[in-house]
Amino acid sequence: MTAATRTDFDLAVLGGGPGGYVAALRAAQLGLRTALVEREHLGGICLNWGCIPTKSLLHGVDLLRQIRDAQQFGLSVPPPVVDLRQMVARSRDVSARLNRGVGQLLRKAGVTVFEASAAFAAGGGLTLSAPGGERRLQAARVIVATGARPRPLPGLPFDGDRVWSYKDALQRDAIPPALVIVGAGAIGLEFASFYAGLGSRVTLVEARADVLPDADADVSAALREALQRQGIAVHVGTRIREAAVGDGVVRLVLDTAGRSERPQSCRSRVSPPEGDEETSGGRAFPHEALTAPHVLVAIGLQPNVEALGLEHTRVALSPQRSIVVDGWGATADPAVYAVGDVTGAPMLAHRASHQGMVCVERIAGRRAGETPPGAALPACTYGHPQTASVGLSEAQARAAGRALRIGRFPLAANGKALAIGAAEGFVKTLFDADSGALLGAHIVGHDAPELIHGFCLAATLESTEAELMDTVFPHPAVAEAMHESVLLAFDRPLHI
Amino acid sequence: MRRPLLLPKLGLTMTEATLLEWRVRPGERFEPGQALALIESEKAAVEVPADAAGVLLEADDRVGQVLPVGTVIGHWDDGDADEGTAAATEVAVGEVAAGEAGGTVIAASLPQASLPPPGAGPRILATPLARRMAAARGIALNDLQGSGPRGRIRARDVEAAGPDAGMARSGVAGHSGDIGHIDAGRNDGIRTDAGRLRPASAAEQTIARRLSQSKQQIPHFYLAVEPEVSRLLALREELNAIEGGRRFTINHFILAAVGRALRDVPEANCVWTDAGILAFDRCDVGLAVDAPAGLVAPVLRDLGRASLADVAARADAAREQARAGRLAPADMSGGAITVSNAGMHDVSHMASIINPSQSMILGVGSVRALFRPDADGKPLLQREIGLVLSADHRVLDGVRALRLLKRITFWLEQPLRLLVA
Repeated sequence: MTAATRTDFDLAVLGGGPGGYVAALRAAQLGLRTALVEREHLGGICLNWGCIPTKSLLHGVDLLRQIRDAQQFGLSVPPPVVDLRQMVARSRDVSARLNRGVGQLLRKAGVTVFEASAAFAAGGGLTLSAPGGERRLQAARVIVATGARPRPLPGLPFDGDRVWSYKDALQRDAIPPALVIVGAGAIGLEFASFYAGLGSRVTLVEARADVLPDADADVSAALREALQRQGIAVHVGTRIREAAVGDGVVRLVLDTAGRSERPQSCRSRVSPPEGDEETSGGRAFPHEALTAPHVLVAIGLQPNVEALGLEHTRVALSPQRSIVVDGWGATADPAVYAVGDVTGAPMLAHRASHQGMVCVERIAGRRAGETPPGAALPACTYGHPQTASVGLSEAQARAAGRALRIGRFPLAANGKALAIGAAEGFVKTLFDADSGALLGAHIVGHDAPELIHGFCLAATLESTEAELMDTVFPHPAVAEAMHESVLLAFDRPLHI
Repeated sequence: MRRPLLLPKLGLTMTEATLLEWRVRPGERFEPGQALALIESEKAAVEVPADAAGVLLEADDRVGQVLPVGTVIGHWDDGDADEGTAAATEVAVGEVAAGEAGGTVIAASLPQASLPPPGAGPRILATPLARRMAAARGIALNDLQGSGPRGRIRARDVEAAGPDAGMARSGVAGHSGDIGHIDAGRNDGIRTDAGRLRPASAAEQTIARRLSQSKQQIPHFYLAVEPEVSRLLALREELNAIEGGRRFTINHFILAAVGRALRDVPEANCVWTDAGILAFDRCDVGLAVDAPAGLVAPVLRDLGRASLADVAARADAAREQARAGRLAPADMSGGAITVSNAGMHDVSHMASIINPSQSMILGVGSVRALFRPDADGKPLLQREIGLVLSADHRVLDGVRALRLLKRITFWLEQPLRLLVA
């Protein structure tokens, strides 16, 4: 678009992350005249500062681990030298390449991209602000896909030096000697794995009862034990009571009162770290003090709803300040839709993309008469070991009052896993005992995120145990453990 | 050449059937008209006859399962080496029986649901879990609107269709964890605190499902009358006294009366279908027969002008066929009304459940002698039959249904007219 000050579109998408750009691509496919407004990076946090660059970094550490383990396969390798700058540079290259790729995809699809910030205007329409000036934009429908940003710990604002967000953590030029990570969700876990793998002394602090607190308890427990074996000090049920930066260090006071087994806080409050190696033996002082040169705060994300002019729409916000939507992404304003992290948890890129597609198809009239798809959403973490889940955890399934059939097959009983030295982990499946419905699947271990889609497909197609049992899995493959887990749930395992 | 054998559509509203058993085994030769398999649909067990001679190649093993019309249930070889006529002899699917039943579909352009109407497509899209849950709950997939892509029926659609009716769950609370699914092949049942729980047969399940569906989906209303039948009884006695003549039953008179009443009140001779309201041209009347395999209802065709003797002859033949289990599928389809006579069981009135594809059923009670006041208030001995007409309020209002019922009464109270008109 060039000189026009007013442009008419069928659809304007605010935000070019995995929710927004996918929505825009699908809209263009469906013949809608589509605009996409992005203020910073096409591809969003995921592609530029999240999922993608961290995978490059974590793969580097995985390689490092493999090289160190090479001896067991009969390979003698000199001790590897880590060049963090090079690792980071590679991750940035990958992001840059994908970022350009998204731009090309949008161009090819015929989506008009505006590099600007957008806000709903008082009189209707959108105001786009860019360094070059302002312009108005009129669109029949608007999808808000503005994502979310890291939530700071109260009293401990991000400074990029002592107090990091994930964005700071993935572009260091030196390996920190020690690092405290507050929050043991996916982001906290992955950076714990990364920096511990590079040799930092890592302390992980989580307010809720276990690491990856929303996961199946077996997954959390396996992960916690694995992290501890890697030398990471793990403090769960622990909150940050005080925090301050000074004298080149961050001082934290931990409230460990909740550490006794199960603090049942279901809110995603933050929690804090504890610290010193000396306390890791579990001496339960109610308070512990901790200092570290750096703290990574990964306690959750805050939806980006500010400065969007939402007050000029009828869009409603939840108490957590996320945009309230239905299963189609419709908001309280008939002209405004929202997808992705700005609509609240679970904040996952693939959820955002799926929401974006569904939302646009609904807008284009393709899904009239349907009820919203209740997608089976996988959730993965890429630390060491990797985890992947879809559906309900055992606790959630039990809370729903279901009679369950559970199979938990260890990778140690899988031939391929043993052969490649990846026998840590398991595949756990949960079925409704009455109907045979697959309620949940949880994988810990090598390439778990590459395996989970098998269960996602099964769940989406509403397979029962019968179809899964009848499926032929390749041999030898770690995936055979998926089959065995199902067999095990119905008391007919073959290899255990 | 090899040809598919499809589950045939045997009735106007038939959308699915239970495959009960195979009568011919793979490798066996069969002749035209020979029964290949026994299926059950709309309360009746019927045979699937062969269209032509051939050899059965494969037989589907889903015996006991509910399958949609048009499902390939086997393959057969017609012994013909050349290609070409396959389509002609496959059992036609989705040929809506408007022509077959001699009616016309009116209001066919009603708003379309997003699912094609039953019979429009051979395959029901449903997930494995949805199929399993529907089978466990006795819910027909055809009755459901799929919420998934391309109308695929998902588990939540089955859940939305109603609570779990499976006796395995609700009937034995506290034991569900132990019992799980009742194996349909096991007839010995399971001992519970309350008694013995046995699996329902495929036939029982079909009947149960059809009846529940009818009673739940058809808005029934009921009208009762008590025709005075002294003259009818006298006439019957006189006719039955004829040496070597046919023996007439009260039911013969009622069937004849209903046929003529339909002719007189054509606006009542219609049924509700998903595609619209079907007004029949012919005055067909169903006859409920308590056959060994369960209740069946052969339909007597075109009784609008049939003589009483003709009605009697055809009703007797149909009854005999029904009891021998030899009714052809076409014998049980069509018609707006069925006559269900419980007169032999000493009951005054019977309000019946409408057969799923019809809009009315006439429940017939016993003949009762009772005193009614005459014009002067003096007791007058009357002989009456209690008739209760159950009618589908979607297609019939009280006025039209009552008009029909009054007309039936007219013919029964003036039975000589049945012989001449």
